[in-house]
Amino acid sequence: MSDNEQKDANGWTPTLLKQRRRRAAIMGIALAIMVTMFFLVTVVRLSANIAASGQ
Amino acid sequence: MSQIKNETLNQAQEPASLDAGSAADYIALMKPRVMSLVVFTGLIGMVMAPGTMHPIMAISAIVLIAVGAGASAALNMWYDADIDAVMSRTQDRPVPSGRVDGDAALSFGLWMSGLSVLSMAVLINYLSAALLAFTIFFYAVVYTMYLKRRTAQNIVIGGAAGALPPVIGWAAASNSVSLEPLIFFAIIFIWTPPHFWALALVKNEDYKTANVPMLPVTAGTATTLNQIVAYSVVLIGVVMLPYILGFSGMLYAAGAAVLNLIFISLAVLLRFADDTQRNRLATMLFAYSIFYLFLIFTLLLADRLVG
Repeated sequence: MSDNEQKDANGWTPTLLKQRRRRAAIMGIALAIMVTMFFLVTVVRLSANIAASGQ
Repeated sequence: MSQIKNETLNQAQEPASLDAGSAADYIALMKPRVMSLVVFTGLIGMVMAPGTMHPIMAISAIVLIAVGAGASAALNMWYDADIDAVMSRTQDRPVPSGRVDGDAALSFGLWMSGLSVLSMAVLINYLSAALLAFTIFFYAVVYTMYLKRRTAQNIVIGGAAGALPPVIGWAAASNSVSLEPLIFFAIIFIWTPPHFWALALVKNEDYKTANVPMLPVTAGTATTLNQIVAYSVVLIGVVMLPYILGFSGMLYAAGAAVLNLIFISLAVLLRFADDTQRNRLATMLFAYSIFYLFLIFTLLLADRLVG
């Protein structure tokens, strides 16, 4: 990050904003993976329980 | 009072320190290379465990073990920023280099720890979650905050944290812990001292500067070399236990014997090396020890798949 970069009213430089956007995107992807993981494991467990109750 | 309030307001207008650092810096904070070994040994523990595990559950457990390992690494980097800053090997890490703020590393580590342990409890089972929580606690608190700066036995005792992933993997798959995962634990536990002391010999000046009581700093090179040989002898015995106890076959025994021979030869060569050769051999032993552990666990897996 260059010291010469212009800061906005809150003190953010374009580089910092770009880094923040990238972090936010990665955090979003990580959250999506986590939600998918919880959903899929729930389906697997439900399927196993249904199969077990039918025996 | 109003002056303090104004200063607080001015600080609030600055970009929060949490918002510094790129995504790559946060990945570096999780020590991805160490994480790969943790994930690999955890996976082997899972595959070797009795019973079958649904692939989605297995992938979830591996992801959570990786997140837990990354979390403990972030907490380690937060706490050790002062000593990392004076060591050539670690001074470019995200916290000492200033790319990630210490508070950001701390909150990142704490959130990831909580997330991994709670998710493991909800998605997999309580035993693996408890083991994961213990591993994070042991590495971040017992090793990093207590042992590392106080005793030359830091990596001997602290090695328990790095040795637990196969036990977690086993527990995730079977909801139990038996003799086999404890043998895997013992292999990594006994492997850790010669692995780290080989590195400590090369980076002795760094550890001295940072005032970290690694064995070469506190006891000298000769004692460290003797200890490396002693632990290597114990290691080659422990590594043969899966075959001796009957849960691995000839493929594992033959492969492990060859790997053991190279390991002990390097340790003995290092023991008797002169000053000009010592660093080169210590670097070789350090590099070989990583390769060795990967191959030992690969052999365990291969033997199970073939058998």
